[in-house]
Amino acid sequence: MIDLERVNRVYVVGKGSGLFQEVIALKDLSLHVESGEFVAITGASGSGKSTLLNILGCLDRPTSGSYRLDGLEVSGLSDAVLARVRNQKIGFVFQSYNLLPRHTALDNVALPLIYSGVSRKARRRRAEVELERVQLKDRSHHRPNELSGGQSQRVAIARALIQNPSILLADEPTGNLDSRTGREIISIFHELNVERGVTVIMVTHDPVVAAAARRVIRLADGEIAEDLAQTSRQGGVA
Amino acid sequence: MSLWESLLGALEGLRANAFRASLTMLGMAIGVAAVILLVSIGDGTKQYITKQFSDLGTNLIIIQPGRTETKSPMGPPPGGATRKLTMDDTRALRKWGTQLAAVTPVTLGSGSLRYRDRQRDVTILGCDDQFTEILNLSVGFGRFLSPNDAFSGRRVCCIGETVREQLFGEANPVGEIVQIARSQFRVIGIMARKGTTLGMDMDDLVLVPVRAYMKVFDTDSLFGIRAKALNQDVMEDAMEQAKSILKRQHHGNEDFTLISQDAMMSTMGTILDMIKYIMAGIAGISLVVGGIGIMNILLVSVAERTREVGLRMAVGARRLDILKQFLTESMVLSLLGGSMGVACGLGSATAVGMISEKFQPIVTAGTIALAVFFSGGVGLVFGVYPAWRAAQLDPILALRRE
Repeated sequence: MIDLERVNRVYVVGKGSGLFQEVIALKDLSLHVESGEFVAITGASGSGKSTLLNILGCLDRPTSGSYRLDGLEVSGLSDAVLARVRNQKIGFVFQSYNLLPRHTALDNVALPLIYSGVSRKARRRRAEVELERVQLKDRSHHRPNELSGGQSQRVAIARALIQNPSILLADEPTGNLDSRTGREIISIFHELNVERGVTVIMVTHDPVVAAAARRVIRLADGEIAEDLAQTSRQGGVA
Repeated sequence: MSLWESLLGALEGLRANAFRASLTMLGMAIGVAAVILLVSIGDGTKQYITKQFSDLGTNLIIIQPGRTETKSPMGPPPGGATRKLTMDDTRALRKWGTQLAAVTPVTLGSGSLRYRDRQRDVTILGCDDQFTEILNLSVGFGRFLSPNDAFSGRRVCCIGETVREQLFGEANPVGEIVQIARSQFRVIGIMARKGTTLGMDMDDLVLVPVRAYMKVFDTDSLFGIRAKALNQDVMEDAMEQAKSILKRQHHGNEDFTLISQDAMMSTMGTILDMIKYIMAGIAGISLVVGGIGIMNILLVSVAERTREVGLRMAVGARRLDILKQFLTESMVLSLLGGSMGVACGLGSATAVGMISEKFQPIVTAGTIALAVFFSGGVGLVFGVYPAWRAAQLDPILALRRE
């Protein structure tokens, strides 16, 4: 489902100053992820984790190389088409939740549906269903500042899932949470992976969290240093 | 994202910063209110002055001595006349002017009017019996100058209301003898109140037969001739006819000027319109200032909501959607402000109308439409740049922004 082939991502730093410098974030990286996998990406900071996730999430384009998502070559698509891909196929979960502060939990969950032209009524209905799945139906009309960290992240997960995307991308999803809440979030990921067959790709630097995944990829200097398939999950998940 | 969705989103965004939004809208409202008020005053002035002109009488043709080379509709400059207009000219116009309903000679001067021990400086106007018909005057009490009075130059006069009050008080002046420039005149009528027309107080006049005026003031030339065309349709013909009659009288010289009331009115109209547009332009500056306020607040808003923009893009908003979102906000700000301005403008125009008696500002639907159209336009123009900035954000950087 995900095919990265010899992908490079080069940033130019200090553009226009005459002293610009090229920073290579990803170097000839090839990666294949099957549908239904649960992958953790680890690595030191600056190893290219976030860059990889941004490219996988169609927020960024490779400088060179090819990225095929469900057989569709993404690297050459226009901004507007990429937005559509993000809307339909990809769900994002962020470390800092990124909920809109003035919107209720329900409206936050429904947000992606606005951009696919779903009516207000249908949006609400679907958002309610999704909130129920993360057991937050009773919090539908609360605003983010009235929610705990764990609740916020669950709202964010509901938002990521509302379009039934095939891929869930998470960037340090437990980074702002205590370990118990973190475990809850990871177990939700696990459930989604197993029960709904969602492909989960999660960036984390926490080895305990990474251990929940069935495949752990370690990046170093923009290259894959280690790609381990774990047959059995160890610890972490209750 | 439908228009309705964008609208709701924009309203929500504004509600979150209600105070800031209302200040921004206030700027817009003041601009729109200023445009409406000034334009309505301009329109009111025009109507007021137009009315003053039409109060002079309809289908009026003004004939003045002297010829201007440049065609000034306001008549020749004073003092340039080579040959005067005379009673003969008036007679000729009456005799041959088939398109003219009435013709009257006019002489004009000032003098003192004395009744017993009271004295008043007044404008003395020499005319004849057709004067009232031409200038839409009527007699309130007594009678006006008769053809006989006019023909014989009898020493009789009609006085305005102001003159009556000042000289006679409560007494009935009809039949009384007054003194004008050492000659005695009998008061035969009192003119109905007319008010001020074009700066001339019609109630402070003394009207005497033109022949009597000529004798008393020892002059044989007229101030001018006033005529009235049969109707609006023959106005052009009547002008042409009067011109050819007078030209023949003056041995082929066109040493006089004919002005139609229409020409005067259209000239005044042009000038007044220009003044109105200048005022609207000045008020328009405040609209621009309001627009800059909107742009400023939107730039702040974009900066504050960078993360929101990043997130919206991550969940599928196209750049166009972001552009639309902020542009809608700008339009809502300016149009809401604009409607507030319309209300304020209408209110203040009404207030001005209530304060002044004679003069009424006129708010037309066109003026309101124009103001609303411009406020929307300002919202669009000044919203484009902030909205474009928001749409150009890189979602990755935007999401990382604290």
